[in-house]
Amino acid sequence: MGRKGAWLTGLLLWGLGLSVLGAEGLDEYWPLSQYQAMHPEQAQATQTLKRLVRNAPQPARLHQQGPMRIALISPGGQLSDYWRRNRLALERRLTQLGLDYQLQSYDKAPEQDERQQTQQLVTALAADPDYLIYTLDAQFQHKYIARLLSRGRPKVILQNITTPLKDWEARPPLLYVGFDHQQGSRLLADFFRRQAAGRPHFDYAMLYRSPGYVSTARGDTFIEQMRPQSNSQLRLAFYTQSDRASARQAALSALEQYPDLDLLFACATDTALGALDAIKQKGRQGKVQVNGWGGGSQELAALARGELAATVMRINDDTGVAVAEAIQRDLQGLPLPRVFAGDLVLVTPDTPKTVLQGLQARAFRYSDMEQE
Amino acid sequence: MPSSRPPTQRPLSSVLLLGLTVTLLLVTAILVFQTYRYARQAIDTQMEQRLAQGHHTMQLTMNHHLTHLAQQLDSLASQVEISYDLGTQSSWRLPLEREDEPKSLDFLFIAHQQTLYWQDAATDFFVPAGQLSSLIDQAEQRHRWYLVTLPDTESAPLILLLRQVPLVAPHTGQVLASLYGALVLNDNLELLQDLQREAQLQALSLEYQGLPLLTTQPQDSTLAKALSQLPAGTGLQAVGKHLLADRQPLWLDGTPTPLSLVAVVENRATPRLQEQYLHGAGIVLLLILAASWMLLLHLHQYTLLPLRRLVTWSRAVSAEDEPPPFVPGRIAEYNELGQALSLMVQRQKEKEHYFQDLLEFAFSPIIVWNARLQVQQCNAAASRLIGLTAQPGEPVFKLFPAEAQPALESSVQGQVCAGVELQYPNGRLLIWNMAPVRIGDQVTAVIAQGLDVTALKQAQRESLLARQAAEAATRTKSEFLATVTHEIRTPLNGILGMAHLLQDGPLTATAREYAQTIEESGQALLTIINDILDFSKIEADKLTLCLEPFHLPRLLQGVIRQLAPLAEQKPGLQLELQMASDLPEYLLGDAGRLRQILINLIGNGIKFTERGQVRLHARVLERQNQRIRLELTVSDSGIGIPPEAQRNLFQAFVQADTSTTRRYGGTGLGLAICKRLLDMMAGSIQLTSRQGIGSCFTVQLPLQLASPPAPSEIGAPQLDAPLSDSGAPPPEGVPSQLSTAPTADAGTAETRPDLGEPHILLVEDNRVNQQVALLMLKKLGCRVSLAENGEVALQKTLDETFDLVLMDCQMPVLNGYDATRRIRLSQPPQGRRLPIIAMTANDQPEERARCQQAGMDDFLAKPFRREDLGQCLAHWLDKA
Repeated sequence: MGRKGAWLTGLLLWGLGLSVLGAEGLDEYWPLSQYQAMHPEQAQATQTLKRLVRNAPQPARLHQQGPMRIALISPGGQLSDYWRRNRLALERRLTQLGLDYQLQSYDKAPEQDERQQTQQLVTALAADPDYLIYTLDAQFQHKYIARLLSRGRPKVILQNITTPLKDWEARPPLLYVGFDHQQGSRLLADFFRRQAAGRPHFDYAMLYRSPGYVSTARGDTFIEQMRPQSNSQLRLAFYTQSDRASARQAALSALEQYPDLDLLFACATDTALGALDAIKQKGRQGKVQVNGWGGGSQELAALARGELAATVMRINDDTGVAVAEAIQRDLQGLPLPRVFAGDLVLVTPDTPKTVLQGLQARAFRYSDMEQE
Repeated sequence: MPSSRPPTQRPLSSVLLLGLTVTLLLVTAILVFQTYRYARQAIDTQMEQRLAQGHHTMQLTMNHHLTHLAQQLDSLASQVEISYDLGTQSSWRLPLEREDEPKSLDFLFIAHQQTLYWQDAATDFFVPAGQLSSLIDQAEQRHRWYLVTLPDTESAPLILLLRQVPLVAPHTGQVLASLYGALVLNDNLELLQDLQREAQLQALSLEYQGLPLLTTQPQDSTLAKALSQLPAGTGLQAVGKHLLADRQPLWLDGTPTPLSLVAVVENRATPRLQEQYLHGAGIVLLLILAASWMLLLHLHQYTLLPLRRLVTWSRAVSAEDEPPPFVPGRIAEYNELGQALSLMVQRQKEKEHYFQDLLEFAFSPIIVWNARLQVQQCNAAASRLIGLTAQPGEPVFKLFPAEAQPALESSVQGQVCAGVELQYPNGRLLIWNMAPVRIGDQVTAVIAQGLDVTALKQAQRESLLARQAAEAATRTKSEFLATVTHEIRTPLNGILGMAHLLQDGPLTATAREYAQTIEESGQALLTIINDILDFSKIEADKLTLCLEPFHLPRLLQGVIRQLAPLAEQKPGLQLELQMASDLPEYLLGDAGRLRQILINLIGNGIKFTERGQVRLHARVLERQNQRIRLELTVSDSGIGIPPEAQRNLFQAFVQADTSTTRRYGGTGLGLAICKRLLDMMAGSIQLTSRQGIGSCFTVQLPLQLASPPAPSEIGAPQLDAPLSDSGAPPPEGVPSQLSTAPTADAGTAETRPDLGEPHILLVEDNRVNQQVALLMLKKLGCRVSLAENGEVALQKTLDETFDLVLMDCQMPVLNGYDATRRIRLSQPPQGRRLPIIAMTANDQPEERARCQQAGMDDFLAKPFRREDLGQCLAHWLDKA
């Protein structure tokens, strides 16, 4: 289904709720908590990796035949600086670990179409990398990754996903790494349920990113978590093109249809900023709440300005560091957990400044080095 | 004897347990194995069906999947907004940003003939750069799936299923191009997992031309490695312990492709079956062992324990002198055995006592020793006789002299040593018989019994000396008799010869009577001497039979003829000979002794018969092959013999009564000699007689038929039967029954043969005999030359020519035997053979044989009558 089709579907079938979203639901994934319950044998490895990530680097002084090749394909062009910081954290941790590596980075602009992204992947694979760090935020990527996993080379590290795919149990990627979207959405849902508690009604619209796993994990989990709140109702849902403009457009549409909306739930930073643009355009500041997702610099700034009602803040650099540590352990032949989820913290305008600063220092301990 | 190693002994209980357990185990093992085999076959069949069903399901799933993709392709082709102006379009503006879904075509492209118009993004991912045209080149018929391969630069070729559908201009119907849809099989784990899931398999592997492409298992897993090394071919194959694999080709449009699916199913049933059977077998084994033990306990309690008690009692019985009594138990058979053993032991003990008593009280020395030559028993007689003692267990050599050692050692080797004569230091001489006692092949003991022959040997020595003395005396007597006989016969020859010659001259009646009396007395004396000589020989066991062929009728006729003159002296007496018609001519036997018997019997008949007849009757009683039994009957009508005298008649020096001797004369040795001779010939003689009627002597003796002698033998010297029954057959006309009626004297001078005037050399040292022979020869018309010894005779034969030589044997200077040998040597071999006739007073077969060996031709026993000499001369001169 093309982009227009997705839009139309979102507009026409918003009232049907999860029945629409079920097609792209989470059935094919294991929720992280469930996966960890199913694999208690990985608890030790998970704790080890978490400890390594939090602690100072411990170079293994490996004897490498030559530089290992790492291909990193990330949506670095997004407004969220998560990907940029993530790459920096990865590179700097690898360097601190003393590993000989060549990192070829491919920034994937959200507006790139399938053909361009495919070509980007083909190009990256043509260099025969040892490790491919990739994301799974579009359906077409699924098939490519599946084939790569079947092939066994390069070793695939999937970023921004912490829910293992059921179909890939036989040939899983080396590491699912990221922040647990569902956990973040649950934190936000908890916050907004408390907001809704004292009101007669609490209507909200869902602003997805482009169709795919992230939209489903974040958006649908929020919807699911809000369902018990009886005065809360999802009025509209929109798939965007994962950029600020399409999000603003979708938010405007929502506000036009339901001027009394209490919340525009944004599944990403770009979406949140687009929603804020629309609210400002409609002059509905203070009337309609918007959330952030990720707690990047822009979100924190907007939070400080009182524009965002809340956000879940990722300890951003954890994932980059985790990837670097995972590569070292893989080279050492040491056990790795299948999933690494970075810490998420709910941040609101009420969060004390000192706490926020501490969180920021920890979250960007590698990506801010350059500034230092 | 080599010692064989005894077999390993095991308790009966262990043998029973082992046998029972092994048997039960074997039976159980066979049953378990058979049921396991059947169960295993059933499982295998089930697994085969399971795998066949899995392959069928996978094929259906694959077909369904391809159908679904074909529908996708058809749907896309119908949605294409065809631009009519192909020339103005650089690429197709197609609404093909299709909604991605898991089971969708991997990539799409549009081409017309060899021109590529459009390709989707995934094409770049799946198809190596520049190889899309190769796909277009391999295009086949539209609306069907076909297998296409592209060479890959790295490892396996790119294998995909391709399908094309036409793109048709809506208004014109023109086929503008083809829309191609592809399903890439390389690394298509999702497809493989779908198939695996649908078929409910444990694992699945995809192969292309036998080479593994992909497996649903992790690449570094053991199962993946095992599948990659699975041998080629179809059929069930075990993978590891719990898995079974089956390879079947993947079909496309009803045609098998080079692609194969290796389905793997879990086979828990077989290992579980094995486990259960092992478990069950273990339980059964334990049960069997338990049952065996229980059975064994039962056997032990009720069978083995009583048996052991019985064995213990048996040992006590064999070991103790006063064994405990047998106590019956619960097993009837054991009780019977025990009672039988008890009885046997009792009898054995009695025998032992008996034997011990026998041993102790035996007069013979008895010694028993074992195989190690250790004394076990030595009875009192042994100790007393040999003067040596040894306790049981001591070496048996203590009881025997040193020379007994070989016999003692042989005895324990199993040899019977009989008659071992041993001289003991105490002067005793014992003969030992040593008999080994065997049990099976082993000698367990030797029993030796001795015989004290000290006195016997002494007696034997004395007896030997006595016998030797007796034999010497007998020899001396015989030699004396022979000498006396010879010496008597020599003068007797003179007496008889002279008396005979005297009667030839002119005598008065009284003188003639005196001369006749002298001759008769001489003849009687000669007969007595001959009898005494024969009997002395018989007694000295020196008489031997000379077996030679003889003519029986001639012998009988000769006897009659010889005795006819005697019979003729009694006017009323007739001497008859009757011969059966089947009487054989030639027989093998001692003709001389047979004649002697007949002359004796007939002579007696003539002597004791005054008138009537004396008859000799000959017939064959039995004939079997070459042997006959001849019966000769001499009957007379004489005075007969009283019954009381008949009993001792054949004893020496016995006559019917003493008056007989006085009346008829004789020594009484004749019948005894006949009896002894017939005994030697294996014959018999019987007498029937009635006083006043007559007597009948029946002689039976076995003889062997003989062939007539060869002609050369006929002409040979006939020393044993001069002028008598041997040699040529009887002349024709001689009747089988000969009767001599009283006739004129056949032996007088008037009947002398006509010899002409032959030149005779008379060799004789005794003057009287020389004179007698000379006068007889002259009476016979011979010209006589005299020689007093052999040497003179030899010289005369060299100097003169003689027609015949009469040779005495015992002469001084050169005896007759040596003189004959030298005469024979001096004569030319081709010339006329000079007849040499022996004259000797020794009328014995040995003497005849000696003469023959010396080269003499005939034999005249002294004293001889002129008729005898005449007949002899006539015979040899005529022959010469």
